[in-house]
Amino acid sequence: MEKEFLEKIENHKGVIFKISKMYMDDRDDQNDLYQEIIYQAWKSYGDFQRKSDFSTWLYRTALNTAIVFLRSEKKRSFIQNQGIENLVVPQESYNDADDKNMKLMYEAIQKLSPIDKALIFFFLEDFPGKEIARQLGITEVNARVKLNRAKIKLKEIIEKQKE
Amino acid sequence: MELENFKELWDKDSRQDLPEISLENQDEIHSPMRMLKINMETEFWLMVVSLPTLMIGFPFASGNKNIIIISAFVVTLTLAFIIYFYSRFLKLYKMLCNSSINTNYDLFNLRTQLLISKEIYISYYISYIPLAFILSLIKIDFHFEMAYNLAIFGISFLITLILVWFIIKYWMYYMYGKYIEDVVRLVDELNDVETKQAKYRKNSWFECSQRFFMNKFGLKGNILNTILWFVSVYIFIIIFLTMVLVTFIIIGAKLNFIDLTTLMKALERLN
Repeated sequence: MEKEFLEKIENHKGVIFKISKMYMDDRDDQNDLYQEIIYQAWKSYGDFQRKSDFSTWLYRTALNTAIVFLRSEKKRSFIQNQGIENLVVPQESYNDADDKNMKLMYEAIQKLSPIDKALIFFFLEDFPGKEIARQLGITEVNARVKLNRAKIKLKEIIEKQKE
Repeated sequence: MELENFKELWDKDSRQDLPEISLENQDEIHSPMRMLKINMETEFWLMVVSLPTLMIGFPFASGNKNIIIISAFVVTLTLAFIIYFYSRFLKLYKMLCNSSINTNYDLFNLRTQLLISKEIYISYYISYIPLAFILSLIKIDFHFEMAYNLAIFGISFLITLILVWFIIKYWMYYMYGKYIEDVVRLVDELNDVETKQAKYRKNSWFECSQRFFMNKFGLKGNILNTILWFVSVYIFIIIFLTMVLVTFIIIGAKLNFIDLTTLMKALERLN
């Protein structure tokens, strides 16, 4: 079963790391979250019923883990007390325009709430409204409304970044 | 940069140097459930070590067989409470790690179970009130006159109430409550329940020292911080109660509502 799991997860490693980058701003925290998602997925792999697609199940497990994941204690206190809008993202070295934009994209997403991040993930992965609703356990209308709100928030953050 | 460009960038993001996959449990992972589990484990062992010392140690010194038997009974009962509560939490931890129906269901389940556990935890500490009251009766063993006995019962009852209030308000919040609040906020957000804005709160001494130790020693630092605070509060309570008692006796003697001769006689009988 371990071999089968590792083979399956190999194709989704990239997406899992992208989720980690959406949720965590610090490289160590990103690695921690990445490992935790894989560990949680492995632990519940036995219960995976194969009723849904492996990737659908994995993304749900990944998002559930990411939503309740904590930053390391120093950042946790920092965020709780000063608000997410003041979050300082560590500088990384970027080479070209794409990388720079990618950095800006992750910085903007990181400023959203955990639930909004999940919605933006579904949007970026082109999940239809019905599927987003099923994954989150809310109605389709609610999912669409929430996604629109998350997009507006993200746009506002991008506008602020431009100023 | 527009939102539509995000999709393009998202697809382009294909980092090759991804961390190695490990199926082992990572010790240094921070998640509310992991932090709750560590705090629960630390508290469990602190109680197992300190309770017999506190409850049997002092009555044993009296040499009275009845007191020893009753104290041992109270300790066994209390330890049984702790073991029940701890095993219940471990079951909950295992159950929640395995469930995955949808995000809302999973988070709601987690929230409900955590809130139930919180209530059980509060009841567990409230159950100390009658236990401590009974223990104070046994220890005093009616060596004093009725008025003194009543005053001692009243004071010990009041002290226990204050201690329980302190435990529920502060100890419980820093050990468990703040992590439970995170989960409650998430569920509320997902279900469009109007959430209260998290109040601006200055870091407490507990959190400052927790951060310091965790930055130095990782999750072990959290255990160290809990032990240090537990011992410090223990010492503080003993010093505080001694001071209150001495002040009470001095004021009582000055205002003549405590008869020092009766008090000395009673203490001699106690010894």
